[in-house]
Amino acid sequence: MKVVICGAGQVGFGIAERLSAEGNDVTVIDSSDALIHRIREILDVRAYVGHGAHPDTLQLAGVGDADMLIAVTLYDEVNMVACQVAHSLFNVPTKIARIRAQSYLKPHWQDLFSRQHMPIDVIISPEVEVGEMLLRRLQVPGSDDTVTFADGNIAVVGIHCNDDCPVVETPLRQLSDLFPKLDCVVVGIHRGQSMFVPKSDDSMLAGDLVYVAVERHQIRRTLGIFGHDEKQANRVVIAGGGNIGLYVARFIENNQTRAKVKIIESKKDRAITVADQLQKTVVLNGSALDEALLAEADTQQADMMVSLTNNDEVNVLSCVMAKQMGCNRTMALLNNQGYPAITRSLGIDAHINPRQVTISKILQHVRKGRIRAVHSVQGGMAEAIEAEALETSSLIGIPLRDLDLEAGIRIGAIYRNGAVIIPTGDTTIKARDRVVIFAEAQQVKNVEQMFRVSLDFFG
Amino acid sequence: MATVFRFAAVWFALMGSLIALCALIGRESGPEAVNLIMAGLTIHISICFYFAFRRGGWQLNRVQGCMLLVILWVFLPLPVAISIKQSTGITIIQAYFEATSALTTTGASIFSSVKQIPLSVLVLRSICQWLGGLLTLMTVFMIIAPAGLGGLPKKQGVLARHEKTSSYSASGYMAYTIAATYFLFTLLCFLFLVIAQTPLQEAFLLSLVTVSSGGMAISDMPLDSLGGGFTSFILVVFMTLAGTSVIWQRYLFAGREDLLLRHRETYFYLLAIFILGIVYALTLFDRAGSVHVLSPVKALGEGFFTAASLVSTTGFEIRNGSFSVLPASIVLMIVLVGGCSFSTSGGITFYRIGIMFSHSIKDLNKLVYPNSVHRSYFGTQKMNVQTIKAVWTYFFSVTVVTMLGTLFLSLRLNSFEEALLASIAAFSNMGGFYATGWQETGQWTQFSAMDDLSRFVLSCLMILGRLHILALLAAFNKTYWLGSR
Repeated sequence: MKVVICGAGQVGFGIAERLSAEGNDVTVIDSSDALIHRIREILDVRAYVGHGAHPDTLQLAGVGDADMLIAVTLYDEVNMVACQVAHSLFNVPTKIARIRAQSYLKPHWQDLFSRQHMPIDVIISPEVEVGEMLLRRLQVPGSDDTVTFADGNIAVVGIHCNDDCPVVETPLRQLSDLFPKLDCVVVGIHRGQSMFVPKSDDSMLAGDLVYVAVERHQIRRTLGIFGHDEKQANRVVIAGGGNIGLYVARFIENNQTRAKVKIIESKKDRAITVADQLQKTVVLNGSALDEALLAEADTQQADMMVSLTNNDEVNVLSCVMAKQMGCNRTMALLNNQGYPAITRSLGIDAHINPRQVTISKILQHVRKGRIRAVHSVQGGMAEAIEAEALETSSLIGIPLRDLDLEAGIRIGAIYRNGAVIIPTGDTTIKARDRVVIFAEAQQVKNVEQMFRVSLDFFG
Repeated sequence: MATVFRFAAVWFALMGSLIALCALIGRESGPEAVNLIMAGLTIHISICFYFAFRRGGWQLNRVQGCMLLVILWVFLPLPVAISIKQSTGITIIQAYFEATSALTTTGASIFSSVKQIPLSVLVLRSICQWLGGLLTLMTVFMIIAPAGLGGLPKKQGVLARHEKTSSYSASGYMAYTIAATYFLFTLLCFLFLVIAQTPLQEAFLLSLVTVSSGGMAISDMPLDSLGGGFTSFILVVFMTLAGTSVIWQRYLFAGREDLLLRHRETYFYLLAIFILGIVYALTLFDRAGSVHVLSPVKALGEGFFTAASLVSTTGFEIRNGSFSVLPASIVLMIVLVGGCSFSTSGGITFYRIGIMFSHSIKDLNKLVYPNSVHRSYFGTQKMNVQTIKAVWTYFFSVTVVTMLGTLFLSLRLNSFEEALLASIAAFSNMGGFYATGWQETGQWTQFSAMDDLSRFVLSCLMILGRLHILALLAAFNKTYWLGSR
């Protein structure tokens, strides 16, 4: 697939890195000489210096032959115009744009991005995506990562195995005998610096981050079996009143009537703007690293502290301080890829990487075949994928134990006619089933193949 | 100052014309010649002033606007007072009190019975209230709110034409809009009263007095006995409307439901009338003791009439002493609050009370969260420190002025309670509140029994109420007049 990416920042670089690693023909455009120079040096991609929305630059990048344009520059307007130019002048089939300004995304202006006006096929709003990810985690306390599939009926939950976790050091094949109530499939294990899809002889160890596929209603019970009995956070302190903080606070205000939310924002003007848009949330003006201010926000009694400022160091330190003050759980927004490795040792319970969330969202639309949703985990080491099985798929009609699945691929759950099936060896996949699969990065191509739309399908 | 005199000349000419009209109605014996001459003189002097200062243009700066307000509210009652004096034979101070009370739509009167008043004075008094209501609306929209006096929102743009080419045309259009809305309400009130079989003369006078929230009596008969039974209902509706903001009324006429719903001050005002109406109805029903004495429907009707009259600061009563059914302290607070901003009602207004309440809550929250930041909006109105300071300054001024008035009046009246109620009734432009029977007859000093000095003080309080106090201070700003700080 030939892909043109406008913008070589963190997100543009990340997408280029992933797509080029998968053997796609990637071209990157950016107005910054330094960024283009860097990306040329590190990745196997073509890169051009120029304005991402200018037809000349796009033509130079070969957008005329491209299957997809991904516009992820810093500026919404450049991204929108790049998509418009790609559509009007070069007839690019799929156009994806990152749009941050919430004004463009308000439901009553949705006609703006229709085919007749500004034909952008997929709009990615990082703030909204990160906000939703955060909320999913807040709603599933005890999990390190939560992503839902099949209209929210199936979840893939990342659970950290503590020393007191009852299921550690037990081969997976014995789990269902020892824990009959454990109605889930362990699809992936992140141990140390590696990520793998476990076999039935493998065991979970203390310190592992385990990914399990589970029906939505079974999440709490599953977490309980893994030793996580945390209650839903009702007292939440949010450090950083940016778009994400505001989005999360507004959602909690509207959906958790008993919740008490406090936001700490360092800029006075922004704090006033945030206060204007919220009804019940207490907005405090000051630094999230000010111990007195954290105490004023009742951090010591908070169920959850979420640090969402633009500064990773502030996020890490404020979470550490909150934890020391007695806050139950902490979560930090981290852009720096080096920090997640040390968060656990610092006592930070979870982290979110906005770049990863955005890339994951974009990849969902890059994947071929009947891929309906993709979630990238652990910086792209694996992917949780929801795909629809067609009549022509090689998976149809064969019991799972007889399927010749590559190592590194595991089927976590099946969604059939509104019901969730947690698969066993006897389960067979039927046409139109929606299958949730966990695959190591190098196996993603094989998953695409399994769900590809072949010519037989049209015959 | 030429512009100030030019504007004043227009209003004085208008007032002279109305006096002339009333003089022509005169007594049963015929037109009142002296009043006709006085009206002619007023018009003549006004025309002379108008042409003498015609080069002044129509632009007023902040101090000039305030000066115009002072001139109008202080001196406009003078020709009316002279006319009343000539017609009734009362002293000039009594006549000035009567004229000021009418023009400021306070509704306090030294006449205990309408029978004592010649028809010409009755009509003049009612027309003065109507004109005073119009003057109140225009000055609030065009001078007080734009100057930021008392922290009123600068909403004049709502009534201004979008395609305005100059500030004059915008102001002219605004004045036209206010006058048209006011006139339309008066006409509707009159028509409904006529349909309700109210006699034409009473319907005409009642409509003038009701839409201006004036409240001066136009007949000795109880209001619910005028016409065919629906009169009191129509009066409830128009008294309530009189206390609503002209901006809200404009939205109502234009069918702007989205904007109507956002005008929260009006809904608090309507809610206050509703709650107070229920409370009055229950109290009246309880006092009556039996459904044979007062039926629940009649109690509800009287309750809502009294509540609408009180909250809109009109001052009508269905029966003597209706207001005093509730404790004086509660009624006093309601009168002090008054109706909505940008309406003809007096008092501090719901808008300012809302701002002070909201600001107080924020400050109390600061005790728990010293670094907390609060909403900068009050409803749809952006609040800044300047606005909040202006509102609190206004409130402080109201407190000082009413307390000084109370202190002075307490030296002249029978009790401190009388003095307090009279002071607040005059300042809130709601004379009917004081006149009601708070104590047994004979112990309560009626306006007619007060001495001239007390009446003069009350006249000053009425004018200060309409000037929002601060306009007076701005008009006599030392820096402006003497050029020194």
